[in-house]
Amino acid sequence: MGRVEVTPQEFTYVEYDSGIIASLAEELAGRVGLPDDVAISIEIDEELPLPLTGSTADVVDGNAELWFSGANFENGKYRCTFDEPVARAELATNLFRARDRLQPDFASASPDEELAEALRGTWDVWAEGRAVRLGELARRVRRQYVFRLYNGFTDVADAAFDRLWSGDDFTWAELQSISEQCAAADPRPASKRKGVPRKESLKQ
Amino acid sequence: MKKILPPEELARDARFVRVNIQDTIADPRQAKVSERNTGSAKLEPDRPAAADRARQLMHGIFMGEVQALEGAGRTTFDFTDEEVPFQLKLDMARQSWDESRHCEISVKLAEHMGTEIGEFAEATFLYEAACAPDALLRLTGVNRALEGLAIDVFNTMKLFGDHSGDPVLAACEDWMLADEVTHVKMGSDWLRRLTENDPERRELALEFQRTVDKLFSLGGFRGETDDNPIQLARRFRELAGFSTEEIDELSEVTAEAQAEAEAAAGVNKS
Repeated sequence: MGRVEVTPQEFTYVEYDSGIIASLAEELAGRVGLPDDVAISIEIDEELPLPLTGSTADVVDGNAELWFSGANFENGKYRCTFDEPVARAELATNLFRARDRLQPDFASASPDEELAEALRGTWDVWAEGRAVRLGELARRVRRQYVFRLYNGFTDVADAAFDRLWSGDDFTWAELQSISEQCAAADPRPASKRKGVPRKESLKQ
Repeated sequence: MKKILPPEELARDARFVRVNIQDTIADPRQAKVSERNTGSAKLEPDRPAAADRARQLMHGIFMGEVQALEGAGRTTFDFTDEEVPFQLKLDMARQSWDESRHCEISVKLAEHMGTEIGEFAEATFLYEAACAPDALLRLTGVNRALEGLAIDVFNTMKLFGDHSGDPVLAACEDWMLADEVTHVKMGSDWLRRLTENDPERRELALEFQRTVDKLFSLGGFRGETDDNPIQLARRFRELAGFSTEEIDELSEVTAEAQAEAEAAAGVNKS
């Protein structure tokens, strides 16, 4: 048995294969630099269809715990079918964030469900940019749209996005600082900004 | 050139994949989602998956614009001057011009949001409403029902742009919304003129509209409660010639459509 465990093992609503997902995660974990002794559990909520995407990447007792909406791996053209390039990009991005959480300077980062959308969006840009440099699927404009949605449609936010997308090394404090700079330049009323965790979640 | 072009003969390149809308509504995952308590279903930036929900809706709008262009274009061509007034055909030609601009705007907006053309499957139910053999049915089914849905969708997207601080989305949706109000009003005006002395025919046409409105409510996609992602845009519908009674009736139709879809899917909301 490998270090990756996928739940459920058998899918009912979607045509996904837990063995394929586990082998992709195993391969990508090595490429993102997740230490060999870190076990990876992946839970997929197959009841959530496109466009209800969502994911979390946490570290609990030294092990990586990833959660994905089934929509994150779904092919938009063919309902219920697995889109491998998209799944690889999603896995790599979240494995990067799990690896980040193992670094001492990310010790103060809250669990994903407690993170503000703006900060989560900032971290996701950095993680996806690294995944793209590994050769995984690039969805730069999509990621930038998400980033703008939570960090503002401003020149400051766009400059921050470029820096995050192409950067290799950030600390948790630097990510927080970037998100704060975006918030300071955001002309939206404070109530419309995403500086607090969202109340509802797709994760059950 | 062939008259009354069936949906399966619409020209599409390899980027596009067709889906039957009924299969989507009947997807058992939809029932599972309905049973969950995830708060309001309204399209708002602070809702879960807001970005991807907006991206998919924008792609749906693009496909709807393509089909609206095809529908209005067909109505310009499918009928002789003896069958429909020439002025009506001129209005349909004008609408085709508007829809072609909407296609271009929608492509740009999809690009702005990081969506590729053909990224999501296409349902052709909008065009299917434009295949009626009677021009009057097209005016009610397409101009009043389909374009009425467009008013609701564009208003929802405009508000999403406003609330997320996206000036590009908000402005573009507002421009397209203004055109849609005109298109619906065209349908309302022509329905009145063509059936001025024929109340029975008018009632038949309105019955067709009710059927299409129910179909376009997509089992709860549109309505006036927190369960509905797309909200009925009452004020804009009034501007387009809908009476308060007609909007109330539409609201009831959307509630019926949602109840029927939930019953068919076995949704338990207790």
